Amino acid sequence: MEFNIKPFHKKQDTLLGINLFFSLLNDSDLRELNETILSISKSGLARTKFVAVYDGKRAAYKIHFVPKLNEKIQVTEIHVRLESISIQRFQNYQKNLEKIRTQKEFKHIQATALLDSNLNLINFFNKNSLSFEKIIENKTGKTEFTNWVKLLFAGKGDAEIHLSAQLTGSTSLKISFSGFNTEKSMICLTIESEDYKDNNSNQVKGLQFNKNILNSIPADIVFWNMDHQYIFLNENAMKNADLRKWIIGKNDFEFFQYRNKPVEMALKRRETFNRVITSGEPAYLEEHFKTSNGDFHHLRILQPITDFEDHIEWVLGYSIDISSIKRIESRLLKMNLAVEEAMDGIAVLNEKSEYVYVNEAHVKMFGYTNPEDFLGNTWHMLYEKEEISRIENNIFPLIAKNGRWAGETKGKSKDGKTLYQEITLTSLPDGGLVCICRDKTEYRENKDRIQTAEIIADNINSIIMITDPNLKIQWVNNAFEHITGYTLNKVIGKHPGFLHGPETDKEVVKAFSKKLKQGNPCSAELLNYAKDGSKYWIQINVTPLYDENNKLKSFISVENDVTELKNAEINTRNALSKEKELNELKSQFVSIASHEIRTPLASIQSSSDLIQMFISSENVPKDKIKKHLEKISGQIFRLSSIMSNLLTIGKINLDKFSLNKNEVDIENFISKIINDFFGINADGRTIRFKATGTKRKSDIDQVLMSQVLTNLIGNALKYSKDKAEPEVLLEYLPENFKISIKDYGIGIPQDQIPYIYDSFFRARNVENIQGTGLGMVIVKKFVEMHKGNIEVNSIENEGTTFTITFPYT
Amino acid sequence: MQKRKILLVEDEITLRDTIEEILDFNDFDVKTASNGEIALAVLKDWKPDLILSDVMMPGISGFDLIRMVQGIEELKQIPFIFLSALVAKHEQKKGLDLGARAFLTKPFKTADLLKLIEKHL
Repeated sequence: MEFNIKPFHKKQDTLLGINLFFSLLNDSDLRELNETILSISKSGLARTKFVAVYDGKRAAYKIHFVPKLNEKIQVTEIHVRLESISIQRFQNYQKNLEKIRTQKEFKHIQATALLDSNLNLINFFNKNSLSFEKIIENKTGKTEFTNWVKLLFAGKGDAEIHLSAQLTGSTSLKISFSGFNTEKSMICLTIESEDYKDNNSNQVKGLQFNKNILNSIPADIVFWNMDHQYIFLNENAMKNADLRKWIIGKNDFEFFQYRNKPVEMALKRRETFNRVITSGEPAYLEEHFKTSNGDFHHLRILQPITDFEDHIEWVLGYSIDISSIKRIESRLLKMNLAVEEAMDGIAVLNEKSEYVYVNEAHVKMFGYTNPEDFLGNTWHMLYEKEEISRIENNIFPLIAKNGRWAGETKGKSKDGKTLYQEITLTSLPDGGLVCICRDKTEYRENKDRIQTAEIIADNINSIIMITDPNLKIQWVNNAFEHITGYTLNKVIGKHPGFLHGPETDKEVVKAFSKKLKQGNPCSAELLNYAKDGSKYWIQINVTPLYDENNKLKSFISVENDVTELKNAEINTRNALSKEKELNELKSQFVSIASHEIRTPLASIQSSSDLIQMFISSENVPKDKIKKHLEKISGQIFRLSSIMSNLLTIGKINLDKFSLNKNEVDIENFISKIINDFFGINADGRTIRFKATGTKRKSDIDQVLMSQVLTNLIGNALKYSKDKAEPEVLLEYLPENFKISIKDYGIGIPQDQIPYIYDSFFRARNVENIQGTGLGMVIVKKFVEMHKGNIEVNSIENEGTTFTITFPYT
Repeated sequence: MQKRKILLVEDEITLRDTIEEILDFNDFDVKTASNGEIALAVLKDWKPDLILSDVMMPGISGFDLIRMVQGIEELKQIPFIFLSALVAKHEQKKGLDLGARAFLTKPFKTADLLKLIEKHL
């Protein structure tokens, strides 16, 4: 049975009620146990008691009381353990100790003797510690002692006597005896010293003969009494002689307090001590402490010394300095930890090349999960045939020669992947090998990648540029020099902005720089200038690079020369816009042509309807009908001329015109056209014609030239309504002749002059004036066919002059 | 009975003369204008019962003219009919949106023109 009880603090405290067991005890036993508990509560020392109870049958118990102490050296609770023992054993114990057990102050008993009535020593328990005979030999003492003992035998009961005694080889001592009559024939004596310390040393006197031996043993040897007080220390246990003397009779708590040492160690010692005195078995305690000489580890062994059954007299403590063992152990532990936790793979192989140890890194490096996968296997498991033969034939001889080899090997992982290792192999005295390896696969792959990247960088047509975070160039590839004409040395440290020029889009640069400042990847198309001033388009992609602290490290810029693409794009865009323009012109033409055709058609329809009305009606003069028939004929002519213009353009576009020149009097030719086509005009105006210079004949195609002149003169009239009459001037020049057609009309807007020869083009100020936008196309084409030249001079709202110049032949 | 008055605005002289003659023959009191400016000048002192107008004319176009007429309180009620070579639907819609009663495309039958005039007078 085991349980805990609270420590007792008052004399009245009792075990009764704590556990049913105690109610079985008789009063005397219970009182004694109560006192024991009270004592234990103060001293913190374990105690063992024997009791017999009657519970239907007789039973005996050995009760162990083991106190628990806190760091303030206070007992917090007491562990109680009941050990059932045989009645026989209890009786033996009782027989020998019954009387001693009843002593009030057991702890001060230094010697106990049983005497018969003749003062013959029957038994002397502390025979090693005190020579009883010596006390009795003391003369004064002997008389007094003999008288006192006689009184005891006379039945006077408890009594005490204080005597001076002289111990052999020692100073005189004052000794107290207390005794009582046990049986008629026996007396039990307790001998107690007044000066306990001295008495202790006296007690130890029995050890003195061993003192020299004990001091010469290279171990700490101490003896404690049952109160855990030092009664002996050898010189090794305590070098300082004064301290060694001081400590006698004191316990560890006092000593540790005196030396200002942590109380925990004293508590550990007390715990161990209590274990020893309750179990009767030796106990071990490892202690670690620091001194100016370094760290120390001591293994303390506490050995109970008994002088009869179950009765422990002292406890012997001896200790061994295990510091060096501890140091080795600690070093081994650290080394083991270092090896186990190493980043490098570490393996140990035996003489048969089998793994006997692999650390975690080694296991993982090769894609395994368990060290067991390696143990017992040879290193061949990690290599391909070729590599195995290289290692065995080339490397092992070197290890045999030098004891060590370092280099690179090509292994394979569990799943067959190729791995590269930087490896160190060291031979062991027993024929084994230590292998330390580091995974170089990534390094190898990176190296390959970097080499590949360098080759690519220098051979691709794109510019690759590396800049610092402030965009200062750090490196450029060959393509940069090829495209810009600047060499690497010339541009290091420069901002790439030096490549910009007047046509570089500043808005794009601004937006681009802004994005870069935010550290974002970005791309743009920019026009840059090479060293020779030539322009080139680049498509730039910039990627920012960050270091492991997420700090911007550099920018990598890949720039493609897109000049051709860009030009093509511009051309396409221009072509598209031209196409669009053309389409617009065409639809404009359709609507104009429609208007031009519909208006004469409307006229014809109206005249025709009117004639119908006239016929149905009476009294309508015939000339009215005639007038409208003429009108119809005139409108039909107008329609056919529009049609012929369209046909002409069609032919021009198909290059169907050929030049049929013959000799003509150009002056007459012009006059005839003016008369035939512009003799009488709707608004009554005429064309004024004049010729200057020496008259000459010239070779022209009359059909084409007629078209040129009717168009130009027709325009001059059309666009100068209500203004002065247009003028035509023919000039005979030495090399060529020149015809100017001048009007005082609305003119052509300055910005639209370049477009007047485009098909279907009509200036913005003529949108409400009839026209097809085809006349000038025809004019220009026919002038050119004559190897002539056409010029225009026009001011809006003032008038226009067309000048055509032809060679005579 | 007083003759009903029609203003004809048309820049193309041949067509203008012919339509004028048709209207005259059909007993309308007709005045003509060869462009928008002249038409506005005529309208100053003479309020017609109907206006016939071309669209594409130099200077003030037919569309400009109707906008101006619509802006003049005493003229805005006068029925306005376009005679035009513009055949595009959006142009015709534009004319009607501006307030014209009808949009007659050239060439047109005289009978259709007269019917339209009768309808809107």
